[in-house]
Amino acid sequence: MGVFLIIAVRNLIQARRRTAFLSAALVVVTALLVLLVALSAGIQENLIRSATTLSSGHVNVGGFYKVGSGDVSPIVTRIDVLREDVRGLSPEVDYLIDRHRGWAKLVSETGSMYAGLNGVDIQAEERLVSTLRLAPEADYREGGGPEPRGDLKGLTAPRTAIVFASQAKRLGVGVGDVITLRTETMRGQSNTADVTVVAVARDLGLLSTFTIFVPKETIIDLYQLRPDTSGAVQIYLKDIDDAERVMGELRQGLAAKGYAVMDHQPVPFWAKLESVQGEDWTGQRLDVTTWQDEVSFLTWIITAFDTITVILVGILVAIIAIGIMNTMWMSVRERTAEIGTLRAIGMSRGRVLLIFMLEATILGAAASLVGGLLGAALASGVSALQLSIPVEAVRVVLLSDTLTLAVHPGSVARAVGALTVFTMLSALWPAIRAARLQPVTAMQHVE
Amino acid sequence: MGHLGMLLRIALTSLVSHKVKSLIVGAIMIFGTLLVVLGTSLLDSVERSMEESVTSSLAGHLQIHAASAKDKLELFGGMGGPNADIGTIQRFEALRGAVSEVENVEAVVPMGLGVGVSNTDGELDTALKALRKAVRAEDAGARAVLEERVRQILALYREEVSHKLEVQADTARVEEERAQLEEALSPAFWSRFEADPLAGLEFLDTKVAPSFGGGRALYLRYLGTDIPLFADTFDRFEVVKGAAVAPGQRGFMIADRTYERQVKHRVAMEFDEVHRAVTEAGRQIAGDAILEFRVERMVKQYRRVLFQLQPADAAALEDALRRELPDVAGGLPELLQAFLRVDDATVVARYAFFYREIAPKIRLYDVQVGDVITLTSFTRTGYVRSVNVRFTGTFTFRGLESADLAGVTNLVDLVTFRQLYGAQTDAQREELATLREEVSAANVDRAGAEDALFGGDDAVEEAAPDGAAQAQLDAVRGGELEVESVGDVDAPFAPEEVQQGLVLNAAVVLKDPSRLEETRAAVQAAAARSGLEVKVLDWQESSGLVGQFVLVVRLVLWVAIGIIFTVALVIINNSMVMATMERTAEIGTMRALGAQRGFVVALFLVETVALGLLAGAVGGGLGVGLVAWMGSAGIPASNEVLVFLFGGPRLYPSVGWENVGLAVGIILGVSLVSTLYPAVLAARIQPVVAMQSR
Amino acid sequence: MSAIVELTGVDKEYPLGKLVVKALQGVDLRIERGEFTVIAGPSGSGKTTLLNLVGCVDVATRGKVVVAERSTGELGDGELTALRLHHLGFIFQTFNLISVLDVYQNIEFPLLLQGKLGKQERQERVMGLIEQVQLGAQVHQRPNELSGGQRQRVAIARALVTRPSIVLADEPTANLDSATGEAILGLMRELNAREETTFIFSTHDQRVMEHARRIVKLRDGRIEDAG
Repeated sequence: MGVFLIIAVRNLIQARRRTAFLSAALVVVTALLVLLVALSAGIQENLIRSATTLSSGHVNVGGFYKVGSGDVSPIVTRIDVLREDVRGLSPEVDYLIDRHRGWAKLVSETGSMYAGLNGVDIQAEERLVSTLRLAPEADYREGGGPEPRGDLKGLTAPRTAIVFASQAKRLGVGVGDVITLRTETMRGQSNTADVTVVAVARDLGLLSTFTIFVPKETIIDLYQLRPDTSGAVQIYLKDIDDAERVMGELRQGLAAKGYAVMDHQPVPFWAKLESVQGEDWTGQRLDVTTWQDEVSFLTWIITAFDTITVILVGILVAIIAIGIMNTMWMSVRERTAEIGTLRAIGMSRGRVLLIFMLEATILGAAASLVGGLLGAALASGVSALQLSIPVEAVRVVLLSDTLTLAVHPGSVARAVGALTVFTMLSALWPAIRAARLQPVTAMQHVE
Repeated sequence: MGHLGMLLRIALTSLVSHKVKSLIVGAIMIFGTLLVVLGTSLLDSVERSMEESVTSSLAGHLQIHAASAKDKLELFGGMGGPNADIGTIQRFEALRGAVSEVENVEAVVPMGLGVGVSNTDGELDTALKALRKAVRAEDAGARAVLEERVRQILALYREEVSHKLEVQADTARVEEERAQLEEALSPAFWSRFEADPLAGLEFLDTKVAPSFGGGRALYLRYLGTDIPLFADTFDRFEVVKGAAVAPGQRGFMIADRTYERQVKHRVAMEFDEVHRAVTEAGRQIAGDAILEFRVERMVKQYRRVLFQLQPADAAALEDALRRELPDVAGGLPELLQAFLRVDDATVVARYAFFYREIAPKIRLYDVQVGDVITLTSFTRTGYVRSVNVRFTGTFTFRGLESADLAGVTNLVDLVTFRQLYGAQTDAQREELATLREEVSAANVDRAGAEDALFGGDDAVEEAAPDGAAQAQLDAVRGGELEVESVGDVDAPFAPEEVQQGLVLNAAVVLKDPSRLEETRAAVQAAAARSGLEVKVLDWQESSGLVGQFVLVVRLVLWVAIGIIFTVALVIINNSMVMATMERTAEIGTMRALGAQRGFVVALFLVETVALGLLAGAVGGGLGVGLVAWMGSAGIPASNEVLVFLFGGPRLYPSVGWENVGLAVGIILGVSLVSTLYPAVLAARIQPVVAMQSR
Repeated sequence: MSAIVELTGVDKEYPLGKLVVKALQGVDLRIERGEFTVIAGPSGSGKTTLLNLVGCVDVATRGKVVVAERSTGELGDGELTALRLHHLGFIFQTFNLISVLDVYQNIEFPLLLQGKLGKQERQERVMGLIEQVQLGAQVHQRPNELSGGQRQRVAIARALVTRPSIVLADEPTANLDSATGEAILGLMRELNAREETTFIFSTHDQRVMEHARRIVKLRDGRIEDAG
């Protein structure tokens, strides 16, 4: 085996130029694959991050309360009991919080917009506090300074709000300014609350455009709710991949405890309001969802992106395959005399095949490894640069204001492995042709 | 010049001689050309269709708005929502005057986007209205039945009260509501009702009804415009139901898609969807989770049918249903639920039955053509403003019937739009000034001012900004009062009212759209000459996110093409280098015989260009053929967004010379670049190698 | 009579890995116009190197090489190429025909490179040579369809088509059987006599030497006998 390895490696070194070109192509494609996968993973991570920060836990126990059959509110009652029951049912829980849900018009002196309200208890929201970053004042106010102002913990005070930079810009407000929240009800009644902005956070992609944070009490006041109500229990697990399973367990467990649980529908809670309103039950029903359900209206982006990646890499791999076959074919032709000599001195066909396959494998492995590492380095570098994306539509699609690429060793290893195997497969045919050469023809092969 | 002929001869023969290399490089080039031709012509076709969709529905070719805009104009929706602040154009007549002068401008249409809510009646409201009618008509029979229905509905509200106590903090109010409800349900109340039905109705209307039930809030995004001009200018505009708003008349038109999807009776709409999926898309209910869910949801909403039935109709329907479903036990509720639980076998027949027997007995749409609707909207500074306006009919844009993007925006006349927006006419400003003088500098109480101006006019209700922005209220007190006057909903207005005054934006339709950029500059210049500070956008910029769609896809396509060609370049280069090395002796010989280096380079370039042209021709031909085939068959739009992008239910792509030219150009460029290095390598071959025996 | 080729104190060294091979050392040689000269010597004696220098496909490390009154050491690649094109003809040991061109095209090739003659003249000249080398029946055959002797005749015709002042032949009979070799040599003698073209051969074949008027013997990179 050792001598074959030496032959293969030396052959590669001898055909320096050819090896270099083919390696370059392989390096480019592997790096590209890694970059695309990293971009896809980046989008996915942005989505998870913004979803689990802004609008969902890993698993949510929310629900709807129907006072009358034609009415609906995204409310759960007796929240403390529910929290205890949920905790008792799922041992995987890292921690859980509950948030109020609302929808209001934000009115400032110079502008207005609609946004989803998250009623939170900031003391319990460690994750939120650690994920949100204060935006420098210059981000939302002309002539603002580079240093952030305000404090997320300011939300402990009543009648306060944390808004995002894009909203602050739109409303023309900064830390310390007052905005009016106005909820509109069916009958044209509207309730309002004036809240003071205590912090302006950096945008977290598309979802953050429509979300602000207020203390729970503000929502309770705004909707005149009983204090033991809430919007949803958001459950954070130690491993987000357990979400699907935990949802199933909770669904069964809660039903067994006598809660009325709605059938699973993989759409965000606000998309269910209208259909629930039309259903003829009244009272409380719980709705257990995963984070994916709550952002299902965005997952098409990832699907579309992955489809493009697959098509693109497919085409590239086909081109590369042609290139590898061509190169190996040339190599076989060039070395016909050598192969003839080897066969004449008694080397078996299998071993000739082995030499050529070894050559391709070494080339494929080395080049794709370099490409993989290069891609990973490039992805990390680009991601670290925090390049901002100039086109709004691209920002929407990538769910982020900056170019984020997430590199996972596993996916790099997969890409390297795939391309190595692929190189081997492409080399198979020329290698078989080489092995089939008759020793006599091979030796006569002189022009 | 014998050189070129020989170069060609050598190049072509060597292409044929080195079959494997030629095939490999050629195949890559053919594929590349095909990709570019296909990609760019499809995208160009989508862009053209989308341009057609956008320009022929709402946007026109150019859009003009004030330069002071804070937000982007997003006619087809986007990130900003419908209440984007795009500033105002105070004097449309000035703009129209300046812009119509520009050559190539066909029409200038005034516009303004907004969103309003229209609340529809709930079950109790409907029943009370009917009862009031019966009382007035002194129809004792109907009155008895309707009184019974009101009591039934009220009885259901008992449950509602206890539910309210679960969630609402203000228990005292709920208790009060409970007391009023119990009062309304008491025999004593109904015996008093016999004596004085109007007083009883008053109690029910004002004390009980506001607390319970409730109808549906219909959110309507609307475009205020000169509707007759709009209909003339946008030639895809088509009235579906009812009539268009007449010149000089106020009126509201709902987009037919919104009407069918939002305004229609929920059960009927659900039934439409299921029926369409089964008959048109050929789907099966059994096993299709979405359809099964829809059927289930339809069944759950049976009360929406039940509660709308008149007593006589209910009895007739019960009989009809019992004949249809003899095996179902129970009364009308059970029958209805069983009827609505359709499956693949029964859906078509029951759909026909539904429209034959049930639809005429219910309110198929929450709002009927000819109804007066109350549109409630927030003015820019946050006041609630309600305007009554007649709903004259529904409309669509031909070819875009099933596109949501073209079907979510409704139309309202400009006069009503200005009232909802909170704009003042010159006359009002004057009147207000007079009023202010009259009361001199004394404290003008806001409500007082309103009463003074429009007391007793119920067409406009303006709620005070419930303690919202006190500062704003002060500002309003100090400056201009936002008040609006409307008489009868059908009172005509002077035609010039829509031709002058405030608009938010204006659409410009061109005679020759191919000269868009040129005309855009001319329009901008004309506006500037007239001292108007406006911004002129093309249809793509003004359409919102959807306009950027093509941009994103184009970006993705070009990035993909770029990547593919980079890799192809490396591979072609690789093949050519190897071909060069194989031909070292031959090239050495040529050099020894007296061929200059330039000759060798030219030999390689000619070879590649020949191959590139050949591959370009084959790939381009394939691409043209493929697009032509798609063009005749049409690519079906698989979802409603695609309908909009395709400008209709199918895209008929066409390929232009520029697509093929571009593709061949790129392929030639790529092949030339990929040959440079091998050609240089070849030119470096020393003639000595010819002398070396192998 | 003027010298067409003149070498004075020529050294030629090649790098071979880390070694330097001295292929020619202190070579002085003068060849007159119309000579039929054979450079003889065993393998590795420097025959081909000498031929390369005379053929302007290589330049001397030291010393002076004058070909057709031009000193090759002072010329650039383009000028050397032009010199080869207009003054020299090559006949290679391995024939070195252009595989993608047929007999006619191969012979025409140098004329096309020169670009001096019109189509009519080219055709006359090429066809005349084809007659002379007796390939009338193979005009449109490609090299791989020809025998070794036929290929070498094509090469000779190609070398002569530009009417060069010098024809260089590097072991022209090495890859031919003896009968064919004789015939080829006879043809070259004939041409030399008729056209007054200078022929310079390299060979270590005794029979070839018998045809020569002058034999220059090389050994270990030095001239042993200038003939």
